[in-house]
Amino acid sequence: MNNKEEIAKKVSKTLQELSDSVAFENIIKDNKIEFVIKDVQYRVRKPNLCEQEIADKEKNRKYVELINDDNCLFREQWIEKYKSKGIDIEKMESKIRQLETEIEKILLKLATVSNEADVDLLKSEIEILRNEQIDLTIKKTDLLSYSIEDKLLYHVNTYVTYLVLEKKENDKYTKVFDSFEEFSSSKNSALINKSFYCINLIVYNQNEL
Amino acid sequence: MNYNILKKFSRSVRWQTIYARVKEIGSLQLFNNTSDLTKLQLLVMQWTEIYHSLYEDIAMNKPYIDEKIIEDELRTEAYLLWRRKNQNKDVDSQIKQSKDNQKSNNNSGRPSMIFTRRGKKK
Repeated sequence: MNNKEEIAKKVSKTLQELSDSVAFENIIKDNKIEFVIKDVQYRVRKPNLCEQEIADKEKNRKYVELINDDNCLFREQWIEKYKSKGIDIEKMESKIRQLETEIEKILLKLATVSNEADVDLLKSEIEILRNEQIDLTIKKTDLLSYSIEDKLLYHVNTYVTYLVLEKKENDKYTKVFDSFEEFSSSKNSALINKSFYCINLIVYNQNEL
Repeated sequence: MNYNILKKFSRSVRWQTIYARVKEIGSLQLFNNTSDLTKLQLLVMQWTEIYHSLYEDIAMNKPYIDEKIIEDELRTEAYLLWRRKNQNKDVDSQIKQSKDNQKSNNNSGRPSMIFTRRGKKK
């Protein structure tokens, strides 16, 4: 690679980093995230107190519905059911914790070494353990995704997204969907997926990051 | 977007400078909203504070930390864990020392309280 190409590559990387930084700052500047899909400007925002109360009521309603459904089980019940079929989730959890302890031990070694070769070796050891830990966590999450707790969480996330998703019309933001049923049956998957992603950044956990 | 962007943003010179000014001058603020912060805003604040403390450690010539380590997320994680464990050790040794001091102060054999009997007046 000649000098000009190297410089061009560096400039391109710097510009990309700058663009990422500006985009990120735009997301965190307030408690709303705006985005454009097919030339329409949308936004999701943190639910206000009234919307949180509405979401809580919906959560209670859904909870009652789920516990009255004989096909739905709690996490603990799923764990017992899987155990009887030879899948031990408690053992998986214990293995995840054990891996964390092993990772911590290597991290403590990594903190005090400076030799490049030692650093690389410890980093690769951590990576192997982390991958094993991630695989187990995904397996556990998949197995328990049918539980009442997980179903309820997914429903509430969806409901909150419906409540706070708005589009810009004549410089004013208004709700995109008139009812939850309309939202649930929407064919605009790009809009729904982007809204889920944004609401997760605003309200829920940081796993998406 | 991934977690690395958040950390990269939080440790950037520009954001760290804004954060330092906000800490100094009360009327400045990091975000447009002053309350009702989102999870992401809280996370940015948390990592900004962590990196701020790391830069302070470098300024104070603390061992095992430099700019190169801050750029490496795994090594930063390692340093933060090491620092936490060592801070805990320091606190434990301080508690032990203060307990030892208390014990040695009681070596005089004199009671720490003087009890008097309330009896009949002679």
